[in-house]
Amino acid sequence: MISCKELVKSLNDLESKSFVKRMEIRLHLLMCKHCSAYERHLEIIRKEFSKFFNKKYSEKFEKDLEEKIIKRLEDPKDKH
Amino acid sequence: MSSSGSKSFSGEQFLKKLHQRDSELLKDLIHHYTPVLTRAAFGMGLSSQDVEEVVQQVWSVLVDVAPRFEGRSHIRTFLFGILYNKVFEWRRSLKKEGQSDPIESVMEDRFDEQGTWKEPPCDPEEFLLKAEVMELIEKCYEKLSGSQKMAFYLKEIEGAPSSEICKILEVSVTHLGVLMFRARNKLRECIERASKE
Repeated sequence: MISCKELVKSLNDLESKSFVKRMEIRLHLLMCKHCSAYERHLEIIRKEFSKFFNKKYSEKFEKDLEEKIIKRLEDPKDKH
Repeated sequence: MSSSGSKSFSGEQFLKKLHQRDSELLKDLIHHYTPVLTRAAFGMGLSSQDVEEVVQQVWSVLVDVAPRFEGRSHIRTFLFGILYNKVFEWRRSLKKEGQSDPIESVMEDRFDEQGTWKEPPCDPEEFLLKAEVMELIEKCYEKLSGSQKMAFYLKEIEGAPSSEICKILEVSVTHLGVLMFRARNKLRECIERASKE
Protein backbone atom coordinates (compact mmCIF):
# COMPACT_ATOMS: atom_id res chain seq x y z
CA MET A 1 0.00 0.00 0.00
CA ILE A 2 1.31 3.37 -1.04
CA SER A 3 2.40 5.84 1.66
CA CYS A 4 1.33 9.48 1.91
CA LYS A 5 4.82 10.63 0.99
CA GLU A 6 4.85 8.40 -2.10
CA LEU A 7 1.43 9.65 -3.11
CA VAL A 8 2.48 13.29 -2.91
CA LYS A 9 5.41 12.52 -5.22
CA SER A 10 3.25 10.48 -7.59
CA LEU A 11 0.76 13.28 -8.10
CA ASN A 12 3.37 15.04 -10.20
CA ASP A 13 3.59 12.52 -12.99
CA LEU A 14 0.40 10.50 -12.88
CA GLU A 15 0.50 9.82 -16.61
CA SER A 16 3.63 7.73 -16.26
CA LYS A 17 2.07 5.54 -13.57
CA SER A 18 0.56 2.15 -14.30
CA PHE A 19 -3.19 1.54 -14.07
CA VAL A 20 -2.68 -0.42 -10.86
CA LYS A 21 -0.63 2.39 -9.32
CA ARG A 22 -3.27 4.94 -10.23
CA MET A 23 -5.96 2.79 -8.61
CA GLU A 24 -3.84 2.54 -5.47
CA ILE A 25 -3.53 6.32 -5.46
CA ARG A 26 -7.30 6.73 -5.84
CA LEU A 27 -7.96 4.29 -3.04
CA HIS A 28 -5.48 6.02 -0.74
CA LEU A 29 -7.09 9.39 -1.45
CA LEU A 30 -10.50 7.98 -0.52
CA MET A 31 -9.24 6.71 2.82
CA CYS A 32 -6.73 9.37 3.85
CA LYS A 33 -8.18 12.74 4.88
CA HIS A 34 -4.73 14.39 4.96
CA CYS A 35 -3.86 13.42 1.41
CA SER A 36 -7.29 14.38 0.16
CA ALA A 37 -6.86 17.76 1.86
CA TYR A 38 -3.52 18.06 0.06
CA GLU A 39 -5.14 17.23 -3.27
CA ARG A 40 -7.81 19.81 -2.57
CA HIS A 41 -5.04 22.37 -1.92
CA LEU A 42 -3.58 21.67 -5.35
CA GLU A 43 -7.00 22.16 -6.94
CA ILE A 44 -7.41 25.46 -5.12
CA ILE A 45 -4.00 26.60 -6.32
CA ARG A 46 -4.94 25.71 -9.89
CA LYS A 47 -8.20 27.68 -9.68
CA GLU A 48 -6.86 30.75 -7.91
CA PHE A 49 -3.85 31.05 -10.17
CA SER A 50 -6.04 30.82 -13.25
CA LYS A 51 -8.05 33.72 -11.89
CA PHE A 52 -4.84 35.60 -11.16
CA PHE A 53 -3.48 35.22 -14.68
CA ASN A 54 -6.79 36.14 -16.25
CA LYS A 55 -6.83 39.40 -14.31
CA LYS A 56 -3.25 40.23 -15.18
CA TYR A 57 -4.10 41.88 -18.45
CA SER A 58 -7.13 43.02 -20.33
CA GLU A 59 -8.54 41.98 -23.67
CA LYS A 60 -7.72 45.46 -24.89
CA PHE A 61 -4.03 44.86 -24.27
CA GLU A 62 -4.21 41.69 -26.31
CA LYS A 63 -6.10 43.34 -29.21
CA ASP A 64 -3.73 46.31 -29.27
CA LEU A 65 -0.74 43.99 -29.28
CA GLU A 66 -2.15 41.95 -32.14
CA GLU A 67 -2.74 45.09 -34.17
CA LYS A 68 0.80 46.29 -33.54
CA ILE A 69 2.23 42.95 -34.60
CA ILE A 70 0.22 42.83 -37.80
CA LYS A 71 1.10 46.43 -38.58
CA ARG A 72 4.79 45.62 -38.22
CA LEU A 73 4.34 42.60 -40.40
CA GLU A 74 2.81 44.65 -43.17
CA ASP A 75 5.22 47.56 -42.99
CA PRO A 76 7.84 47.00 -45.68
CA LYS A 77 10.15 49.63 -44.22
CA ASP A 78 10.39 47.89 -40.88
CA LYS A 79 13.44 45.65 -40.62
CA HIS A 80 13.06 42.95 -37.92
CA MET B 1 -9.16 24.68 -48.45
CA SER B 2 -9.02 28.38 -47.56
CA SER B 3 -6.32 29.50 -45.20
CA SER B 4 -8.87 30.57 -42.62
CA GLY B 5 -10.89 27.38 -43.01
CA SER B 6 -8.65 25.00 -41.15
CA LYS B 7 -7.41 25.82 -37.67
CA SER B 8 -5.22 22.77 -37.43
CA PHE B 9 -2.23 24.70 -38.79
CA SER B 10 -0.57 21.57 -40.10
CA GLY B 11 -0.29 19.60 -43.28
CA GLU B 12 1.14 20.20 -46.71
CA GLN B 13 -1.01 23.18 -47.63
CA PHE B 14 -0.15 24.90 -44.39
CA LEU B 15 3.60 24.31 -44.80
CA LYS B 16 3.52 25.52 -48.39
CA LYS B 17 1.79 28.76 -47.41
CA LEU B 18 4.08 29.22 -44.44
CA HIS B 19 7.16 28.79 -46.59
CA GLN B 20 5.81 31.47 -48.88
CA ARG B 21 5.10 33.72 -45.89
CA ASP B 22 1.49 33.91 -47.01
CA SER B 23 0.17 37.02 -45.30
CA GLU B 24 -3.34 35.68 -44.67
CA LEU B 25 -1.88 32.63 -42.97
CA LEU B 26 0.53 34.71 -40.92
CA LYS B 27 -2.30 36.97 -39.77
CA ASP B 28 -4.31 33.91 -38.86
CA LEU B 29 -1.46 32.50 -36.84
CA ILE B 30 -0.90 35.83 -35.10
CA HIS B 31 -4.56 36.09 -34.23
CA HIS B 32 -4.74 32.53 -33.02
CA TYR B 33 -1.61 32.30 -30.93
CA THR B 34 -0.89 35.80 -29.62
CA PRO B 35 -3.31 35.40 -26.67
CA VAL B 36 -1.74 32.22 -25.39
CA LEU B 37 1.81 33.50 -25.95
CA THR B 38 0.95 36.71 -24.13
CA ARG B 39 -0.45 34.85 -21.14
CA ALA B 40 2.56 32.57 -21.03
CA ALA B 41 4.92 35.55 -21.06
CA PHE B 42 2.98 37.08 -18.13
CA GLY B 43 3.16 33.65 -16.56
CA MET B 44 6.93 33.91 -16.71
CA GLY B 45 6.73 37.02 -14.58
CA LEU B 46 7.39 39.69 -17.20
CA SER B 47 5.98 43.22 -17.03
CA SER B 48 3.45 44.41 -19.64
CA GLN B 49 6.14 46.27 -21.54
CA ASP B 50 8.47 43.28 -21.61
CA VAL B 51 5.62 40.98 -22.60
CA GLU B 52 4.85 43.16 -25.58
CA GLU B 53 8.47 43.27 -26.63
CA VAL B 54 9.02 39.54 -26.26
CA VAL B 55 5.86 38.52 -28.10
CA GLN B 56 6.79 40.87 -30.96
CA GLN B 57 10.14 39.14 -31.11
CA VAL B 58 8.56 35.71 -31.28
CA TRP B 59 6.61 36.72 -34.37
CA SER B 60 9.64 38.39 -35.91
CA VAL B 61 11.57 35.16 -35.57
CA LEU B 62 8.73 33.13 -37.01
CA VAL B 63 8.45 35.35 -40.06
CA ASP B 64 12.22 35.11 -40.50
CA VAL B 65 12.48 31.33 -40.31
CA ALA B 66 9.11 30.57 -41.92
CA PRO B 67 10.60 29.35 -45.22
CA ARG B 68 12.73 26.84 -43.34
CA PHE B 69 10.08 25.49 -40.96
CA GLU B 70 9.97 21.74 -41.50
CA GLY B 71 6.88 20.94 -39.49
CA ARG B 72 8.51 18.20 -37.45
CA SER B 73 6.80 19.57 -34.40
CA HIS B 74 3.52 21.43 -34.32
CA ILE B 75 3.73 25.18 -34.93
CA ARG B 76 2.45 25.83 -31.42
CA THR B 77 5.35 23.91 -29.87
CA PHE B 78 7.73 25.79 -32.11
CA LEU B 79 6.30 29.19 -31.11
CA PHE B 80 6.54 28.37 -27.44
CA GLY B 81 10.12 27.22 -27.95
CA ILE B 82 10.98 30.62 -29.41
CA LEU B 83 9.14 32.37 -26.58
CA TYR B 84 10.98 30.38 -24.00
CA ASN B 85 14.33 31.15 -25.57
CA LYS B 86 13.52 34.84 -25.87
CA VAL B 87 12.45 35.04 -22.26
CA PHE B 88 15.61 33.36 -21.11
CA GLU B 89 17.68 35.73 -23.21
CA TRP B 90 15.67 38.53 -21.75
CA ARG B 91 16.15 37.48 -18.18
CA ARG B 92 19.83 36.72 -18.29
CA SER B 93 19.92 36.36 -14.55
CA LEU B 94 17.78 33.25 -14.85
CA LYS B 95 19.73 30.50 -13.17
CA LYS B 96 19.79 26.93 -14.42
CA GLU B 97 17.52 24.61 -12.46
CA GLY B 98 19.62 23.21 -9.61
CA GLN B 99 20.11 19.64 -8.59
CA SER B 100 18.17 20.30 -5.46
CA ASP B 101 15.77 22.89 -4.18
CA PRO B 102 15.13 23.76 -0.51
CA ILE B 103 11.48 22.70 -0.93
CA GLU B 104 12.68 19.11 -1.08
CA SER B 105 13.95 19.10 2.49
CA VAL B 106 10.88 21.05 3.62
CA MET B 107 8.74 18.28 2.16
CA GLU B 108 10.91 15.57 3.73
CA ASP B 109 10.22 17.09 7.14
CA ARG B 110 6.49 16.89 6.58
CA PHE B 111 6.54 13.09 6.71
CA ASP B 112 7.68 10.50 9.25
CA GLU B 113 9.78 7.42 8.52
CA GLN B 114 6.76 5.41 7.42
CA GLY B 115 5.88 8.15 4.94
CA THR B 116 2.81 9.30 6.83
CA TRP B 117 2.07 12.97 7.37
CA LYS B 118 3.85 14.27 10.47
CA GLU B 119 2.61 17.83 9.85
CA PRO B 120 -0.59 17.38 7.83
CA PRO B 121 -1.93 19.98 5.40
CA CYS B 122 -4.38 22.48 6.89
CA ASP B 123 -8.12 22.43 6.36
CA PRO B 124 -8.96 23.24 2.71
CA GLU B 125 -11.43 25.98 3.75
CA GLU B 126 -8.66 27.77 5.61
CA PHE B 127 -6.32 27.27 2.67
CA LEU B 128 -8.87 28.71 0.26
CA LEU B 129 -9.23 31.87 2.33
CA LYS B 130 -5.51 32.49 2.05
CA ALA B 131 -5.24 31.48 -1.61
CA GLU B 132 -7.93 33.98 -2.58
CA VAL B 133 -5.67 36.87 -1.64
CA MET B 134 -4.17 38.11 -4.93
CA GLU B 135 -1.18 39.81 -3.31
CA LEU B 136 -0.24 36.59 -1.57
CA ILE B 137 -0.56 34.60 -4.79
CA GLU B 138 1.67 37.06 -6.59
CA LYS B 139 4.26 37.04 -3.78
CA CYS B 140 4.38 33.24 -3.66
CA TYR B 141 4.61 32.93 -7.43
CA GLU B 142 7.71 35.13 -7.45
CA LYS B 143 9.53 32.52 -5.37
CA LEU B 144 9.53 30.01 -8.21
CA SER B 145 12.44 29.67 -10.60
CA GLY B 146 11.94 30.48 -14.29
CA SER B 147 11.62 26.84 -15.31
CA GLN B 148 9.27 26.10 -12.44
CA LYS B 149 7.07 29.03 -13.44
CA MET B 150 6.94 27.94 -17.06
CA ALA B 151 6.22 24.29 -16.21
CA PHE B 152 3.52 25.26 -13.71
CA TYR B 153 1.97 27.77 -16.09
CA LEU B 154 1.89 25.45 -19.10
CA LYS B 155 0.61 22.45 -17.16
CA GLU B 156 -1.78 23.90 -14.62
CA ILE B 157 -3.03 27.00 -16.37
CA GLU B 158 -2.81 26.14 -20.07
CA GLY B 159 -3.37 22.41 -19.55
CA ALA B 160 -0.74 21.55 -22.13
CA PRO B 161 0.13 17.84 -22.40
CA SER B 162 3.35 16.79 -20.67
CA SER B 163 4.96 15.67 -23.93
CA GLU B 164 4.57 19.16 -25.36
CA ILE B 165 5.92 20.82 -22.22
CA CYS B 166 8.94 18.51 -22.31
CA LYS B 167 9.64 19.56 -25.89
CA ILE B 168 9.27 23.25 -25.11
CA LEU B 169 11.43 23.21 -21.98
CA GLU B 170 13.79 20.59 -23.41
CA VAL B 171 13.52 18.40 -20.33
CA SER B 172 12.77 14.74 -19.76
CA VAL B 173 9.42 13.56 -18.41
CA THR B 174 11.15 12.76 -15.13
CA HIS B 175 12.60 16.23 -14.83
CA LEU B 176 9.23 17.77 -15.61
CA GLY B 177 7.85 15.79 -12.66
CA VAL B 178 10.58 17.31 -10.52
CA LEU B 179 9.74 20.83 -11.73
CA MET B 180 6.04 20.26 -11.04
CA PHE B 181 6.77 18.87 -7.58
CA ARG B 182 8.89 21.89 -6.72
CA ALA B 183 6.49 24.45 -8.19
CA ARG B 184 3.32 23.05 -6.65
CA ASN B 185 4.81 22.45 -3.24
CA LYS B 186 6.59 25.77 -3.02
CA LEU B 187 3.31 27.52 -3.79
CA ARG B 188 1.37 25.35 -1.36
CA GLU B 189 3.84 25.83 1.46
CA CYS B 190 4.06 29.57 0.86
CA ILE B 191 0.28 29.99 0.91
CA GLU B 192 -0.28 27.74 3.91
CA ARG B 193 2.41 29.43 5.97
CA ALA B 194 1.02 32.92 5.39
CA SER B 195 -0.57 34.23 8.53
CA LYS B 196 -4.24 35.10 8.42
CA GLU B 197 -4.85 38.82 7.97
